[in-house]
Amino acid sequence: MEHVDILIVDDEPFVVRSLSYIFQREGLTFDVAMDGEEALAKVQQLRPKILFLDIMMPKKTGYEVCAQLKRDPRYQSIYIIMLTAKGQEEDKARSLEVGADEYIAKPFSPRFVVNHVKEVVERLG
Amino acid sequence: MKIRHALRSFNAKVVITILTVGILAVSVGLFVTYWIGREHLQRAIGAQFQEMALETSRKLLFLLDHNVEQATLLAMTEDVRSVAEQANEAYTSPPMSEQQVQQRIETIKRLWAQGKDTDRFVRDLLDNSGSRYIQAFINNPVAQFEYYSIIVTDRHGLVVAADSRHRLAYYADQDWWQASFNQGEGSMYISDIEPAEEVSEFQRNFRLGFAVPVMNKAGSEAIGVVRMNIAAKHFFDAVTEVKVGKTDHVMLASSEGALLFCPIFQIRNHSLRPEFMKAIFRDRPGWTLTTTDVHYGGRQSINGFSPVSLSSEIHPSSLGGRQWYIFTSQNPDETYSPINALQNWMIIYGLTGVVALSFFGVYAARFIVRPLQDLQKGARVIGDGNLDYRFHIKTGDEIQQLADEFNEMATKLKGSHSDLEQKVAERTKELAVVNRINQAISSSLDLQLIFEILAKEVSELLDYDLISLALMDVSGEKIQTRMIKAREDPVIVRDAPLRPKTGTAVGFVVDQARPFIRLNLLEPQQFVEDRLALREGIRSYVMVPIVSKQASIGTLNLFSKRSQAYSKRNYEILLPIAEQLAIAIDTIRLFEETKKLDQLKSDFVSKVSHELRTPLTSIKGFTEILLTYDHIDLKAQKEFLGIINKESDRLTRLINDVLDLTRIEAGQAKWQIQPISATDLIDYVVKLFRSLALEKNLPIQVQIPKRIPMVRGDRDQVLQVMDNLLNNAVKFTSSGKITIKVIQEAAFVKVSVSDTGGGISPEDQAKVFDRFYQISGDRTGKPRGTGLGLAICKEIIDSLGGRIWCESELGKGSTFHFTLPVWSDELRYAEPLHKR
Repeated sequence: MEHVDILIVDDEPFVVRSLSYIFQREGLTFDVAMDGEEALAKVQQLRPKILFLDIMMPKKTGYEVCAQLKRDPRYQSIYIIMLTAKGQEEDKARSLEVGADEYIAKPFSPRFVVNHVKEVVERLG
Repeated sequence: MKIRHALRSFNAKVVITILTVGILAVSVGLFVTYWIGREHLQRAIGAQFQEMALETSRKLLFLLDHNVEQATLLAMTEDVRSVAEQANEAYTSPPMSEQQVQQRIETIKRLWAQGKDTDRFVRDLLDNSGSRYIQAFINNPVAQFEYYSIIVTDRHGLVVAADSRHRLAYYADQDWWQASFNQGEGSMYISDIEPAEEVSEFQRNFRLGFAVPVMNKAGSEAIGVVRMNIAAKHFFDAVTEVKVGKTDHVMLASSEGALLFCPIFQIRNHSLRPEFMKAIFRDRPGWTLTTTDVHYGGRQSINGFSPVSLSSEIHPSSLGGRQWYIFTSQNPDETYSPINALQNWMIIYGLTGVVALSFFGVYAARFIVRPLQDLQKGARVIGDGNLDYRFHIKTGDEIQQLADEFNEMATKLKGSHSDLEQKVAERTKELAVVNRINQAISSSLDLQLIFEILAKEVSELLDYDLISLALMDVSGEKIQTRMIKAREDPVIVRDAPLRPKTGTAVGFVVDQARPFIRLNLLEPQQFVEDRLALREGIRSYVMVPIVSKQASIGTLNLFSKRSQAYSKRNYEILLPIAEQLAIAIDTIRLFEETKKLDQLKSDFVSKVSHELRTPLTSIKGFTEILLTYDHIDLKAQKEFLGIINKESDRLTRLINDVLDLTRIEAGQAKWQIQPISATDLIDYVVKLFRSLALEKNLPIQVQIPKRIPMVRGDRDQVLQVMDNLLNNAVKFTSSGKITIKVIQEAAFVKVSVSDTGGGISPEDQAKVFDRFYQISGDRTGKPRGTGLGLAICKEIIDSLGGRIWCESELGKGSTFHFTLPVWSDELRYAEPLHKR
């Protein structure tokens, strides 16, 4: 089974594309899921260390995915970074409520994200 | 004020009335008594005085008569007559002429005047038998009277005998002599009271003279005259000695006004006043009231009087030719002392009477007024609200009757008052309940909580085993919500379209908008509820409509296991509650709607934010990639710039759409309403899309009847709608065709755009017009819309007074319809409709 560092979950193809390009350039392993259900399937399969989780997605929202994973002892340790385009306090609170580790509002700086991800990866080992 | 008030009181009035009447009666009685008493007393006193006067006059007369008689007897004695006869013979033998007679008279007068006691002529005369008789008569030791003098004359008036020598010898020229001789016929004469010349002048003694004729033997002719002078004091005493009281006395007056005899004044020393004379100089005895009494002038006196009536034998020139009158006088103090005593007694009696009367009056007034005061006090007590007060007046008269009637009235009042109080208490309780319900309603937006409180409060007033609330859905055809509560159980809520109202009691009440009562439920009746209720043992129920804005929106229902548990009287309680409930439901619904609207707005804001950030994320991401990394291959560079370009466009579109939408929504859009030809418009749009459709190999078919009326609209806006619809159709259709149809439906023209795309699921159909709603599914590689296109279309069509909707079947395609009103002149100036 092939493990990845990062799983990007977002239904916006251009956002996925930009993150993918950066991670690839930085030599991080990653995969992509376009909706919540796909995300859950890929987490099980790929055991990522970090999950980039968009909130507004078809089928299952980021909150649901996050809550479900954090309830499952097997996946509790996955570092979940919520991505939201809403940028409101409410979303931030909700994210932390469902157990997300971090919260990044769109639009974000790819460079910042990469540096941050690297740190997290190193910390997690 | 206090005194006036006191006088105005009934008590005072009674006292005053009694006193007035009493004092008046006493006064009048006393006065009349006094008046009559006074009259009688006066009369009695007057009569006494009159009697006194009369007695005295009789006594005086008797004395006078007695002396006349004495004189007559003296004149008849032989000695006296013989000297007179002898003297007269001197004139007849021989007969003397008149001259000779005169000579003789002169001679004797001279002799008498010269003469002394020792003179012979005089001595002889005083020593003749006649004189001796007279002297014997005077000197009689048992004589009753003091005689001053007695003389006898002959027929020519010359003295022939005397008791002693007196001043005159000749008397024929004297009135009294002439009267008594009376030219030979003889007459009796009594002189006036005159000074006694026989006595010293200084003694001021008075005498009364009696003259009688000396008759011849045959008694046919007067031959001389006897004169007898008697001391006046005898008569004086006879008159003045009469006395009854202390100050009264009897007097004698002469008709010329001289006071003759008076115990106080000297004889002839006083005159009577003319008024007094007029009052007492009467022919008959009597009494009178005078104010000009001799002694007590100026005061009212009672005077008795009586004339001294001499017999007709006495010569009229007697008494100086006047009349004598006896009258009495008494000090008015004494006279009136019995009258005054009477008066004083009357005053004492009167005062005593008044005092007694006052006591009686006060007592009587109290006797009369006390029960009245009790009545008045009692009435005030009752008036002040003490309806338990009862009168205890046992006077046995009308006042007691009145008191009894008052008691009865108080009893009745108390009855009706307590009825009233009970009603007020009930009503107050009702109001309190309604008030508490109102409070609950106004302080809560939770219908279930309100219903719970309502159920509890209503149970204070009305008996029920079940209480329920039924609310209709928006259409008013179905029962949407039911809340049911048994007495002790919690509320059961069912909130879903339950059943059509047809055949239900709730439906009946809602349709009639009138309350309904079932009194005696024994077998299933026409309503659905009847059957259900019967199963629960319900025997009666009441339903009142909940009416909001003239429409029934539900019912409030009470069920009881007793039959006939409710009556129309309960409407008074239930209808106001239902009214309040209607307000509460309205408020709750409004609140929920507002909440929903707020939610929509905040959703919209967050969605707009989200939709703006998404393209921005891409733009920023790729820009930063391009800036950060060197050695990006050219293909990738182009790709990234392409994405930046596309996402910029998307951002622009999005901003425009959002602005469009908000502008229409806010009513700020500038509309240019005009007649639009659907044919022209469609031609124009189809031309724009033809190339795009041809790229996907999609033919666009247009079906428009030849005669189609103009529609009312704004050309640019309707174009935007068409553009959106065709854009979607082309975007979501991969093969087949696109059809545009126009038909007229009544006053509207309907435009339909059909495609042969994947179709829209029923749940998506309901939401396609929502903002930012984007149909899920595989969209890879497809250009992203803003998610606002159809929302804008709906806003535009709604504003233009049309309708937009969609029909679709998955796998077969979708059709979007919209209508616009046919142009008419009336519509020209109509404003576009704005959505709130």
